[in-house]
Amino acid sequence: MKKLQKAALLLYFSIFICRFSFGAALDVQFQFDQANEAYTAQDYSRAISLYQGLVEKGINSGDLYYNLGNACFRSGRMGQAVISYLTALRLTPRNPDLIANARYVMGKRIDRIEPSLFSRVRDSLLWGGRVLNLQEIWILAATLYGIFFFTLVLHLRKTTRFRKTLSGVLLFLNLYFLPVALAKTWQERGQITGVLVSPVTTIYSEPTSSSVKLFELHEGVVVVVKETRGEFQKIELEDGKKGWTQARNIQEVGR
Amino acid sequence: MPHFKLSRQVLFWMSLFLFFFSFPIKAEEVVLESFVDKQTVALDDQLVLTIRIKGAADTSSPEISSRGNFDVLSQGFAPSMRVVNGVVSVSKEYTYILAPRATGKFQIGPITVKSNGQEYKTGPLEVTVTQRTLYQLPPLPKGAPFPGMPNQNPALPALPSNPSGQASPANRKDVFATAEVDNSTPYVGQQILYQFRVYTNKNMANGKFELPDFKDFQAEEIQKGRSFVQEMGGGKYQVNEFSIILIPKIPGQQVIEPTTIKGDVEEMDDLSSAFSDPFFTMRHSIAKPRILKTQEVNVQVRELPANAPSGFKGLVGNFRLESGISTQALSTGETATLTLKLSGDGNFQDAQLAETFQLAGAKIYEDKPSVDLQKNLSGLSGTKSFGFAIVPEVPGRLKIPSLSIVYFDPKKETYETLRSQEVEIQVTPSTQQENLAKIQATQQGGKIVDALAEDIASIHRGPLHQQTLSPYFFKTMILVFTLPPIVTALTLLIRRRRRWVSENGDYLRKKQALSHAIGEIRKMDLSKKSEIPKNLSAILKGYLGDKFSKVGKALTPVEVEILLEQGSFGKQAGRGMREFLEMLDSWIYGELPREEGWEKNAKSQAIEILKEIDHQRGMG
Repeated sequence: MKKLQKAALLLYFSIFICRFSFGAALDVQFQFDQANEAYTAQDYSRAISLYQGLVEKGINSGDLYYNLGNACFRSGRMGQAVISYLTALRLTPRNPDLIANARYVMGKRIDRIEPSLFSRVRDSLLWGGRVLNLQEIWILAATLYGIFFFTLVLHLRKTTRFRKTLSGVLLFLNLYFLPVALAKTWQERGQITGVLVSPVTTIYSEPTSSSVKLFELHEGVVVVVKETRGEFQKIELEDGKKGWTQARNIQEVGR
Repeated sequence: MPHFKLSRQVLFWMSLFLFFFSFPIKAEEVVLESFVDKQTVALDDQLVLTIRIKGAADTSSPEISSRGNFDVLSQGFAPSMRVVNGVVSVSKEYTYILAPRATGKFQIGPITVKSNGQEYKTGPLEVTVTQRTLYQLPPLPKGAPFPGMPNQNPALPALPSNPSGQASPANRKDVFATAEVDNSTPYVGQQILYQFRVYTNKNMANGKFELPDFKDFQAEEIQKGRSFVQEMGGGKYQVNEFSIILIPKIPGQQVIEPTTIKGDVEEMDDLSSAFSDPFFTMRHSIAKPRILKTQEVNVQVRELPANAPSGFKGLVGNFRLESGISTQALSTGETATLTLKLSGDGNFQDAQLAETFQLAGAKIYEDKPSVDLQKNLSGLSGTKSFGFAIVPEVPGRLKIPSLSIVYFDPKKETYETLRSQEVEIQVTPSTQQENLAKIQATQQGGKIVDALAEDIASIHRGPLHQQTLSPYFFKTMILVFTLPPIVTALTLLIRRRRRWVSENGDYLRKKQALSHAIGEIRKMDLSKKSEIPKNLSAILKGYLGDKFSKVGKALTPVEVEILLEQGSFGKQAGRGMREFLEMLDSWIYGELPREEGWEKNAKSQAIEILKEIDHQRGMG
């Protein structure tokens, strides 16, 4: 009888500890499920508020941002949808649904920005950075780096043709993936990427609304924020065009 | 006589130069004065701040603190030089125009000037800013394109006399600015017209304006302003009017900050006359800079009614919809173009169809909508055209349903739905099967399935995985990237060392001979007494073998002596070593000594001999 009591007590404490450990995770999952149900019931504003609640709690998940992007798109918030998809692409860059949705939603934008030759060349060179997320690319680069040095030591001990070729191949891979990892880190952590969230945004030549209006952009255009001066931010488009606009028109992509 | 004229000129300038510079320039005390032309100023008025620096010609520009409450326009400075009783004194006078930004009591200064490394300050000046002057502007005629807007006729009716007896602007103000909106309670998305006017009854030049930041409004500037003459309070004013179309983005109380206008106003200046008679007074015009400000404009933006029908996408204004189709009879695979033209006044740039256009039995290709936008005093107007290429896939009658656009009419305060006409197309089978680009027979006999519509993929369910990067991730990476080169370098160093040792074994053997031999002696087991002489002899010979790169064990005591003598260790060292080795041999082959502690003595003697030899070798 006493053994049974001890076992029950042990079980109770185990459940108590597990509840502490996994309670928070269960709450998060519960809220995520609730948001998904709201989305299914076409209550997009509630779904958005629940998804954003999870984001504010510090949950960083590709699926979360993907679903948030879907809900924003359904409720007509093009800019927010683009921001969410871009954030999701940073976390789960090979998710086929995400790639398809992001391409579809970006195709619905009013403005079409033709990337400059520089942007096209840069994107082609940084192909590796698009198919891997930041963690993956650094782990890959570190692994290749370690193997390269290991092979180098072997090669120095005893030179064989195989070891020589392997060292050469690894050196080439290192010379590609290490700069790509650094460039991706700069793109995601260093530079500020933003999305225009106002229906119409006027771009000025100077950081004042009384300066010359250069052009107008619409919601969902992706920009790189180069400088902030007061309420104005200097932006650069993919085609190389630059100008100033009020900071309130731009929302930053999650870093 | 040109030479004479020239010399007179030279003489004149020289005497003028000597006149000024022959006076003693005393080091005056620097005095800094500041004053304003009035202590109380209205919000739409301006005051003149004068800063006078006496006694120093070489000074920095004045620094005026607490200027955030005023717009400041520098007028530059005027230097002057005076000679009184043979003493030259210099002074500078800086002038600033200050236009207040808010009502209340404000301090201007303290004002700081630096001269010869010293800082001079004046106390702050107190100024009271009162409310704006109230103007009674003439009522604007009704029936303008925007409610409350003046029509395009530049000549407005004369200002009626003010029944309250309040001073008319003409009596008090020669230049002023006003701003207003045509509708102070618009709905979200409803366009309104913000206008500011500059009234002048004097010439104004170099006018520049700074528009407020139209926060929470979409602003569309109408490039062309207009000007007209208006009679007010018995005087004629030149009115310059500028308009901006505003579309509120969010509901609630919105405040449009004042617009600031800067320019030079021509004013008449009296030159003092020797006679008090005005007949002799000379007048000339000078340009005086002015800063004008309009009043703040309050706009109460109303939220759109809650009963919005499905398909409403924020379109507000007054619109009409026309539709047309390029052909009503075509073959499968051919294209008919459906055009919807939305025209009217409002924020139509963002107009969208209420529903996605889908059609069973036909493929739909949507063109990018084209917008023809006009901005004028009637607001934003124009046309937005939606085009759809329809490619029928099945012969028969194809009914194109009516498409709708929902908008909110702020005048009627209701939601309205515009519908295009239903159209029927007669589709005949294609004579050329290869033209059926959309339905293609495959080798298996099936057909390629066409998509009826496009949409985004559904949401992801299932467990949520946290993908936050650890805060130590990049630190770990730094370590990971630092370690391999260090390990590689260490490996290379060890390898090099080993190779060197293998190539320089004799050298190491010589170098380590003494420490090796002493170590061996110290490790010797003293309990096995019979072994001691033999081991000591072997160690000593081994030492000599290491030193001379020979096989030590094979050496006899006499050979050792010769070796040491030849190796410049000296005769004494050679003899000592030989005698010790011979003694050890006698113990090995004869009887061991009987006295107590001989083994310890032999051990220490061996160490001493070794040290002595090594020392002499080092000396040599």
